[in-house]
Amino acid sequence: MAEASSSITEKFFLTLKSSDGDEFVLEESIAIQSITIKNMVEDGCSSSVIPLSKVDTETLIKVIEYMKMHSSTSSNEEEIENFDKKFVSNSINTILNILEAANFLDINNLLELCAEAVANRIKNKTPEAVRKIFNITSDFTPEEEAEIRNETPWAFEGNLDHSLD
Amino acid sequence: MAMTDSCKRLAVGGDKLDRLTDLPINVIHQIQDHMSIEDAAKMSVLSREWRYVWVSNPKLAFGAQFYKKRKLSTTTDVISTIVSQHHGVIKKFHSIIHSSQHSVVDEWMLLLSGNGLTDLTLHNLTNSKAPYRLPSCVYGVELERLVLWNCIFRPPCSFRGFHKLKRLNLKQVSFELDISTASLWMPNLERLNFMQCSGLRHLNIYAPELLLLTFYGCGTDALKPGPFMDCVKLESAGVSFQEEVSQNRQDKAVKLTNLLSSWPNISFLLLDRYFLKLLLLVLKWMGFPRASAD
Repeated sequence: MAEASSSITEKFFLTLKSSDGDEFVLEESIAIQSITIKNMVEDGCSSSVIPLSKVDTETLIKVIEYMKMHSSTSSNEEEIENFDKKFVSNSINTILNILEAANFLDINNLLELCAEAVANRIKNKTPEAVRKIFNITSDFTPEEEAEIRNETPWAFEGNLDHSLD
Repeated sequence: MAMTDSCKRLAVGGDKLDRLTDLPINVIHQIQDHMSIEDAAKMSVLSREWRYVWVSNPKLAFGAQFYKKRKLSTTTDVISTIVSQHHGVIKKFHSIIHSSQHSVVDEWMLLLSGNGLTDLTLHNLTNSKAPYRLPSCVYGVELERLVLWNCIFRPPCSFRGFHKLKRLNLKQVSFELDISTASLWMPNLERLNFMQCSGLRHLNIYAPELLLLTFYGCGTDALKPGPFMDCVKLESAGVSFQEEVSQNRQDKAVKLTNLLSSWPNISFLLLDRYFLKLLLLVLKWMGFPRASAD
């Protein structure tokens, strides 16, 4: 009984503020999946609002959704698996936003999930397709590019995928 | 490295970078860890910024997929080129190896041992039967994780143990030790797995931080009370000898009871039927004459 009451009184909440100025209240136990936030809490910097100047509102909402689903208290394995599957089907721009936020907030699982999602959009694609998908501009002349391809001919063997999916 | 810097400057002069290129290098390497080395290498032609990204990834892994795609001699040449032309440290190196590659693998080990290696896995395929002898240079590396399969462990006489090693996983490894190398000091070792290893009779590993220990099919002489009695932090142990109990094995039963009583924190214990019979012997001694071994 004593244990139950102490766990209720010890529920702390944190306020996270996005770069757009929107504030989100989140249980501390959920928020400290972010090592950056955990360190701030431990250093006593969490009494007021925690400003996340590098994370916009849309991205922060997604990150909070992820942390809620992955917090130890709720959801079973199957739910988490389905959530992750749906999560990585976001547009590549959204994934890149979340990837950057996960790197800044130091949420390793989320970073791994997004890194894999980005990798899956590169795997087996031609360099031309990768450039189009990620809007990368080549600054090589055709001769230079041919020369670099010749350095690792083994990497360009087999049937490569031209599609932009 | 100088090349990379000059390329970076050229690119910065142009338009703003795209999102992917603009990511921190550690994040880009993390993305590349989720794709084949071919896919990572292909990215070198994307733009100047990408030219040397994949050759600076501190993690290198060459698994079955990589070997399957081309002739063995070509695969060997490609790995040799990647290892010798790599930029910066190589912390992790995982590879399958074939018996015909052993002399080349020695060269890889020489290059890697002077280049920040902490995590080494060598899976010497067993179909060739010839075990790979780990070259002496590897024993001087400050490894944190070592996984060997079908290898010979014969350290130079100056070797006293891997002081930073946390995980040691050995399968079909034969130990060739002399008096000077039989006692090894591994103060940070947390997980130790032996599977079908031989020559363990003279080995003494002192590992006060050990949390997990397994012996599978290594012969009944392998498990000695001596140094493992000092592993007071041990939480999990698994021992299986895969052999029959001969008559009058009371000495073995003594060993077992001594070991178990010296592991106060043990919470997971996996024993095979060999031990069940030994335990019954113990019970008989302790005054339970009706305990039966069948």
